[in-house]
Amino acid sequence: MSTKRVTGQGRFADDFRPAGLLHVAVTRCPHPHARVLSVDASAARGLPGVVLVVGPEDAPEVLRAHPRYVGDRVALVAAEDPELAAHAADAMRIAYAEQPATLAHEEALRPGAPTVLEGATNLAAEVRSEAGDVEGAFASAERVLQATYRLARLPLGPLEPPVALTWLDEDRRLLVRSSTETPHRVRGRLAECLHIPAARIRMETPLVGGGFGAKSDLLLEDLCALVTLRTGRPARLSLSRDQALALAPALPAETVTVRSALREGGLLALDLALVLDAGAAEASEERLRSAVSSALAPYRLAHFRFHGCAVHTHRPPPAPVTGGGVAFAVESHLDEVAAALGLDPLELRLSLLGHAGEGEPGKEATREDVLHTVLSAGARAIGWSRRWKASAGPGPKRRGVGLALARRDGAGGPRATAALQLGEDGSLSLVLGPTARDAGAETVLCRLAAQVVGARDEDVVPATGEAEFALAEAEGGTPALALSACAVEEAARRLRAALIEVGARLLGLPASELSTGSGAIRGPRSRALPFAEVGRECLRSGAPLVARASLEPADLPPASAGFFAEVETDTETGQMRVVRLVGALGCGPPAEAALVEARVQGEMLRALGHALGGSLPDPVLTAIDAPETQILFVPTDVPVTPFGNTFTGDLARRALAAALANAVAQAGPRVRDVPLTPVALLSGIEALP
Amino acid sequence: MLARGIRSYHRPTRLEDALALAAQGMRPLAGGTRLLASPGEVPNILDLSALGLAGLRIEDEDLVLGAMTTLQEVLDSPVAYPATAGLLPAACRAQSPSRLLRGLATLGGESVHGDLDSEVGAALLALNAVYVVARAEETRESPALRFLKSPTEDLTGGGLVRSLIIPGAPDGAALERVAPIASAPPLLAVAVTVTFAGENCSRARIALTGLETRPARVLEAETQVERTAGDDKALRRCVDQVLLRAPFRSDEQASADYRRQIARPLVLRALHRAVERAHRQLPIEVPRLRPPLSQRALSSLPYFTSGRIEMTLNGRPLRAEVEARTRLLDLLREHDFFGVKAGCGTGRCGACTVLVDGRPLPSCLQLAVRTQGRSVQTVEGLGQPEALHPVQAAFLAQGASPCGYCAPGLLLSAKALLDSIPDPTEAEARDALAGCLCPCAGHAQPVAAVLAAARAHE
Repeated sequence: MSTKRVTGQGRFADDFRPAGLLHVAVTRCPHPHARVLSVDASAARGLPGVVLVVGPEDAPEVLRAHPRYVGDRVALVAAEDPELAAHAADAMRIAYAEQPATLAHEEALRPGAPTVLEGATNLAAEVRSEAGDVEGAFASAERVLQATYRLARLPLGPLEPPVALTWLDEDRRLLVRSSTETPHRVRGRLAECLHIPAARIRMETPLVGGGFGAKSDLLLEDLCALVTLRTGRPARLSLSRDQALALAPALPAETVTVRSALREGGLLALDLALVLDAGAAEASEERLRSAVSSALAPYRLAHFRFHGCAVHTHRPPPAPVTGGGVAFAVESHLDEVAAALGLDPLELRLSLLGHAGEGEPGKEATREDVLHTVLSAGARAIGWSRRWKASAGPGPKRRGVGLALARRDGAGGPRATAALQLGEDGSLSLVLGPTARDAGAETVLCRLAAQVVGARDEDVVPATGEAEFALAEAEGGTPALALSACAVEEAARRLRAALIEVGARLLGLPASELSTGSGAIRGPRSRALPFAEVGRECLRSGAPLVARASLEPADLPPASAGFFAEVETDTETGQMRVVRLVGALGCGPPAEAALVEARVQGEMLRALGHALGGSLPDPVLTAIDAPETQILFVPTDVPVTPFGNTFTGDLARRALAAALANAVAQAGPRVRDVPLTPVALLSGIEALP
Repeated sequence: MLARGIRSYHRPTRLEDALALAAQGMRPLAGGTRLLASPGEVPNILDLSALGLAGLRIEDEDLVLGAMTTLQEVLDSPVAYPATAGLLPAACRAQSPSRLLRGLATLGGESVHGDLDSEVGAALLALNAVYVVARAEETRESPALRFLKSPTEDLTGGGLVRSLIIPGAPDGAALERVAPIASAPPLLAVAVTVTFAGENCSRARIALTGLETRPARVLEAETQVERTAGDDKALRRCVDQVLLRAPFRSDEQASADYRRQIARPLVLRALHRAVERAHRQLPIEVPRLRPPLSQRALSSLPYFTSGRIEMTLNGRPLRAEVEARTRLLDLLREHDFFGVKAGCGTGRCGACTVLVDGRPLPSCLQLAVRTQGRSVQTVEGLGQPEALHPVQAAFLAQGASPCGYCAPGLLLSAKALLDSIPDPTEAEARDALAGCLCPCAGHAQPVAAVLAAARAHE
């Protein structure tokens, strides 16, 4: 297993210092919306050691004369020393005319709200869908519930701060080494905004110190590249952790209003309205669609309506992730429906899984068996039957247990890619996208490739450096490990086929009689042709053997997970203590359980940090905050990869907050806002009858 | 995010010299957790660490704490528990989840620069601490009630806190807090002490955070308990006074109304616990303590602006040119020790952790010149690919650090733990790792890896 991450040998973006480096600092707008009236750079320019000063008029492609959020980039300086650069950026005298701003996404579509993008309304994207007869269902309902759920903007907080380094090579190509999760996307955006051919940009792909979507877009690279292009010198720009928490892509603020029609002791129809804060950036309809399809996919509802709007605000652009708001709202609301009907929330969900129905979001195969298994395994682990009978003791503390389902299909997610190349000595380079190169996973994937090709384990080596870049992982986010494994397997199968084809030619035997093993092609009567000979032959003929595979996330089965929480609420202070968490994942038992479990644990803890500490400046939890957490891999189908047969990531984020809110509500108030702060809990407790 | 504009560094060994330099306007540097993490301009730094002001001792039943005693030293001292009825260690632990920050932050620094919600400040108020303030002309004593209200008043013109005296242990004490998560600063914290003479409470002290001011006592509330038996009625009268008198703060986290509302149960619970402890004369629990590491006496280093320093790095001598402002983090990375990761620049993420004389500390809050003559270890010195340290092997086996960015800090924190406690409990392992954030893997795997490494070592 690769030891580089535990010996300090792993190289991240910032672990490299080109000679003659310039340090870049950015003057950022202190107002949410403003126009730059004038820029006086004389003081900054006059400082010794300042090499370059650029204002918004000099570089409209990367700086803004019309800043659209607090922290938007207005000017930049480059200097010989980081402290000097920061000092010079502060010395820029910039006069602003403050403009009215739209800060709250709920206000963005009101008539007269200040618009964010010129010549457009604040409606960034809109999606409507309807199935069945929603009006009719509500007209015939015995009871209608309505509630509004809100999620605050939540920073993602990966440990490695965003950083970019740029320089020119001997052919004056632009080299970019940054902490991005999505080098391909960054290269495309750089080419576009700097007006240089993408082929003149080389992305280095060092290790990435966590991302979660916060490093999924151009953030610093363009500013840094501008300095390199204008000065010819290497440049470096980073954000501090505090700046990154404020400015890097975060989970968006969302508001979801849910109406439900109840009849005959059951749920008849749902009507959802989502408003999502797209900040000062474009938003896609795809994202809205996947937000709702994921949240409702598990349930079969005959009548259903969704209206989603992404709206512009004077806020930094959010991360390209979906589903948090709708999932929180739906999973919270189902518990409210259960309470209104006097049903056990677990029973209600199980009954909804079983209903056969039409309707777009529910029409795909729901694989009830997986969902049932996941729910019952998780319920057993948390002690649902025992604890559901609530706990009203004499003291001020109340315990409750809650659950929420998470479901994920591949819609809109990132692809996974892999390539294998045969070397002249018979060794194989495995090229992976940046996010599949996590500790452990890389080693496992190399071993997998070796098994499929029939090579020796030690002959498959992960490729690093520029070559990786040929394999783009498309839009942002982290592909599922299982998908990466499928991509590696597919690439390896293709390489094996190609090897056998060449081997058949060289050996003069039909391909059907050949197999591979221990680094050689094997034929009848112990004839063998080492891969090295094939490699040399291919090199001589000028056609090295390369096999690639790139898989859609939709190639994986939808993932299902149940998250369960036991909490203790202090009814006098609103303090909540998480006693225990259980995550039950329907991905099949992965052979590499420890690797997968570490990732799921991490995601659950991040989700917990957001759910509880989202109002804090830095919502990342420490080891003393982490509650006892149990992860179950529920056997479903035969696992097809070492990491299980489907997604294990991006599930807790959708459901954990709802599981907590549902647990609180069992013996206390219904809290419909995330984060679930002591303040919100206590005001909910006050309002209880 | 180091303070800017540092031009000179002075490290005297004699208090007189320090006082003279302070009188010239040099900025005293204690632990550095605030001074070095703030973006202000600090041209001249006066390092107090060579004055011999650290350490705890009992003198005539009083607990005397040097101003440079760190919060971690309080937690590691067997005398601090009985002498404060457990309150001061509890406050030090609550104040910061991070052993790295607790290892730097000092009682003096916390008293002078502690923020509005300093639980250590509240505890020192409740413990009746007395500040011994040295000046060129005289040494004065200032009670916490006065000193903590506005430390600058006592320090203007070059005063330095020399020590704190906690006179006599209270019979009972308690700390109560509410925070969104355990590691976060409290929305409200209450520190209480009670002392009994016979049946009646002879002294009660109630200090709160979450106020418009720094932590403060509520004198009117205290008198409601004094000269009573600490009965329920007295305690309720006391709480009424707290609600009436305390200037609760409204901010982004919570309103004054919320704080006032939770003050009632928190004060009541703290009082109940303290009185019960006093009545039943329960022994104070002292956790298992790490054996003390040897303290190296620091030499004097006057007027350092730039020059050559020497240290032992991973067992080998390192000589390097540094400026007064150079952080240890930057020095090590300039020498290609890239295993030292840059994270937050404020000491709260732990990515840049190194061991200095065996103690884990965040190298972003350490001036390189402060490590002159000391022994520094980075992850590069922990183990090699072919000969991994047991914690490295355990981290690999557990998949404990998927992205690897947090690994160096976690590994060195774990090594420091295992060097002093070879058989840690899970709670001890969590405490040791709490200074390092690990957003990718959460904390279950790293904690499990530390425990596995300990077992493997047996």
